[in-house]
Amino acid sequence: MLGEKVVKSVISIAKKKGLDSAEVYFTNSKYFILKVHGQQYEEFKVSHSVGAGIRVIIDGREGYAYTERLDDDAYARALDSAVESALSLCDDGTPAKIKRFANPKTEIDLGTYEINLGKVPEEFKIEKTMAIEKAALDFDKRITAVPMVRYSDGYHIERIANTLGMDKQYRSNYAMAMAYAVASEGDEKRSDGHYIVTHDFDRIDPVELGTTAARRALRKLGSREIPSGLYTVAFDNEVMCEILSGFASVFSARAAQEGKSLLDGKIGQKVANSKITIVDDALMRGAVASHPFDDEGHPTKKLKVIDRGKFVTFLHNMKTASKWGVKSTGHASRGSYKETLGVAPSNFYVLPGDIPFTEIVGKAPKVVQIADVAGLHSGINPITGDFSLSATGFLFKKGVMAHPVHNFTISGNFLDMLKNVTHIGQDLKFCFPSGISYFGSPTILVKKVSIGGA
Amino acid sequence: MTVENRYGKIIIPETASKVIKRAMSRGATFAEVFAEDKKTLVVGLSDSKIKRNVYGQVYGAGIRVFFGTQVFYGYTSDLSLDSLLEVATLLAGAWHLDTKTKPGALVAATHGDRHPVAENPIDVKAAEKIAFLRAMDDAARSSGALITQVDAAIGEIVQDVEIYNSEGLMTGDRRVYTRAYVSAVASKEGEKQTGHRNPGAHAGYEFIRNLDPGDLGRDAARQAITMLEAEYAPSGKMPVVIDNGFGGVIFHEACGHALESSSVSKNASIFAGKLGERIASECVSAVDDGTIVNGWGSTVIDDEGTLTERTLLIEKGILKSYMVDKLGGLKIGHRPTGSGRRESYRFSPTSRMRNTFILPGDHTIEEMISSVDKGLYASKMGGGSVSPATGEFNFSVQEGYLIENGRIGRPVRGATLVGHGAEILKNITMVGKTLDLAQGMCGSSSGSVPTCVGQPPVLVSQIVVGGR
Repeated sequence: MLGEKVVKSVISIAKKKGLDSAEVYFTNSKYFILKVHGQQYEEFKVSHSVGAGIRVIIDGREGYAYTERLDDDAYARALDSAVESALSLCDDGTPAKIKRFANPKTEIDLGTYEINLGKVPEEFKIEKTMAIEKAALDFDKRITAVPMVRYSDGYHIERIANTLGMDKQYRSNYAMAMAYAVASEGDEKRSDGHYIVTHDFDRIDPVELGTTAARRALRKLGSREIPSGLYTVAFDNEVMCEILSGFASVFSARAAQEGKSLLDGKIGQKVANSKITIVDDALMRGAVASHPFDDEGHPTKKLKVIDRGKFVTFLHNMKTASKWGVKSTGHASRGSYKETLGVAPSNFYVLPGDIPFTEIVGKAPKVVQIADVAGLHSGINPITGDFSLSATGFLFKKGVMAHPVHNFTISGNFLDMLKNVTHIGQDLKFCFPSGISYFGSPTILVKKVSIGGA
Repeated sequence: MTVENRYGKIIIPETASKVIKRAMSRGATFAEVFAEDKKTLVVGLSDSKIKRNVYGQVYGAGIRVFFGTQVFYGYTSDLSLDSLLEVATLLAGAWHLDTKTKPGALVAATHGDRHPVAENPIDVKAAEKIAFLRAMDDAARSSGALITQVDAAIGEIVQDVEIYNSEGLMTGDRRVYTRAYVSAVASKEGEKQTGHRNPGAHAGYEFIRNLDPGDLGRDAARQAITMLEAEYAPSGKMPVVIDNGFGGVIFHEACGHALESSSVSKNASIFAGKLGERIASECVSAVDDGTIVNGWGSTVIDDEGTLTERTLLIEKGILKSYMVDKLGGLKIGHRPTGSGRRESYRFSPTSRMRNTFILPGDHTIEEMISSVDKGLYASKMGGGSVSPATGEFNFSVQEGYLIENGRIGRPVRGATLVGHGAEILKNITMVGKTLDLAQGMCGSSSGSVPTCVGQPPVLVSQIVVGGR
């Protein structure tokens, strides 16, 4: 195994250099990305990345270096550079340290790795991706474009070892497919998409995926504007995931310590309606962001961040925990061997309730379902909690869909929104994965949300 | 000049041949292996403390396969034959043609090292770099109490590349980049203004030794303080003198990108189909030069192995050439100009700028200023954006002054220049004598690459200035 060879060599060289606090973080990843447009390739990319990130601690100060070249000379040079780095950096007041977390006897199985997924021939992937586009286009003559059909899969091994004798690894893989369709009628154009993330290639049904994307775009035709005002709003599960992901840094101890979290000083306080429980579960079976240990080897667990409305804990790595004299929650994250340690959620979701979507939209005489938001990058301020997003959705009257709505903005504050929740759906869904965390939510009904429209 | 084999050290030729053969096994018309071994080091200071000192080694190979003009790309940082062949096999399977192009036997291409490097920057001790950073920091901070923040860094790259292709090319190159950065923020009553300097070269640490850290720090601070004390710029259509150096950013963004074959071949360029036609006023000639000795955007060969050259883009207002990579050349029927560039093995190369600038003319800056009754002197340009579809641009003026009755007047801030790439070239009425280049990183589909922008001072007869 490549990983074993790499970490053993790095640790043995580190010890020969007399380093007693050195760590190596090795990843080996393979990706395949295919984008199709008009039954032609728009992008076709295969890649295989290996790299070792090195961290050395001297007198509590940490130095980093990395190498993609995997030989003893490269490791020695990276170690020397990390030492020089540690010695040159200014002390930030909180000494860093490494620990020897117990090595599991066998790799812990979280259902994140399916050996058969790696055996799917390339032609099948190409055929399936082409078929998704065709299914979407053929579904209805009002589907005038399918601007995006994308298949990708990935395989990832992470291994962490240190000079105290820790050495552990885990593996994961996934396949995902998505399609975006545009529906047109007269001058009106509406788009929407659909996606699937799986460990089983056969579960990607191109007809189902393509036609669902088409159907979702078509349902938005006949859209009208909506007058400004305060509404009862159903943030549907996909939109709620995006909002949660935009505000994820609010829960980071690092952000709090840098003065950038609106939850700072609120541990133990009620910050949301008691119907709201938010969970981070790195051990969730088969989920995209599951991992048995974090990026400094600390074991992970399932924990509640908000429990029935009460803010329980920030997410910590060892350093942020040590600064506040608490225990790490197992959320050390590097993103890649090139990056330094930070904090990130794993599978992070709002706990579902028991109300079906069809009932949620009938809980008030008028309910606006938010089905899409845009402007997440500029429209969300994680330091103040304020958001202002352009949106599209559907207006429900007495539980019956009256018509789609568009060209409006929703605005408010993240914490106010959590306080004004009245009902929680049962339809927990995780959003399309991007980055290292995976966000999930059911549909939630919130009263008094400000809509700026016609 | 030393002539040294620059290939066979990252990937041996036998391996490259096997990979190329495998990549072409299903009728590909061209295959290429680009191998890279790159060491990078950044030492950074902020709040007068050293906060960053990270060394990294980027190492891997990209494989590119053409089926006609369809292109497939893959890369691996595991340079074992198995991993390389796995990527080549996947790429070969992406398409199928009945053509039977045979890869040619590899023949070594040698070239001189045009860019002398005296001292490998990465080998220089951290203590020396830290002393340089502290000197920039001290100079900026002692320029006045208004300076509230200073960031400084030294960035270094030593990049070895090897290129093998099915036309039998076997070549390589070493590029050494050294650059210093300093930015100073001046604040007063909640207002903030930033000034910066960031000189760089395709050279070793001797480049840093020849810089005066005090001058750099003081100049960054001076810009920030001058602009903090400036009034807002007026708005309206007026003549503008854009000074040399970073003033060339407008030509780079609004004209240069439209002269890259990638945008010409997609018909996304305002200059597509205009070779031989007048696109600028007669006083404007411009080049993209990859050969300037120790130039920040220079390389001996491009990232496809083609020797770089000095490409005359515009001669006395007439469009003479585009900047062309291999694929772009196939698509628009133009000879490659050594312009195929990429950030690293993780990117498929495309046509990119190198050192791009307007050539010097006959006028002095005094002549230009004195010809203007009422206008703007843009001493230093800031960033901006261009809409690629229309060529419309919007750039901020980092350091600007009013021109009143033929003289430089008071400093003004918040000015933006708004215009159109094709129009500004026709509205240049005077070109100055003193050419200067400024170093930057240019981002595009093949990643971020070192480029120089540049020009002598130019007078634009009218341009829309947005102020307050």
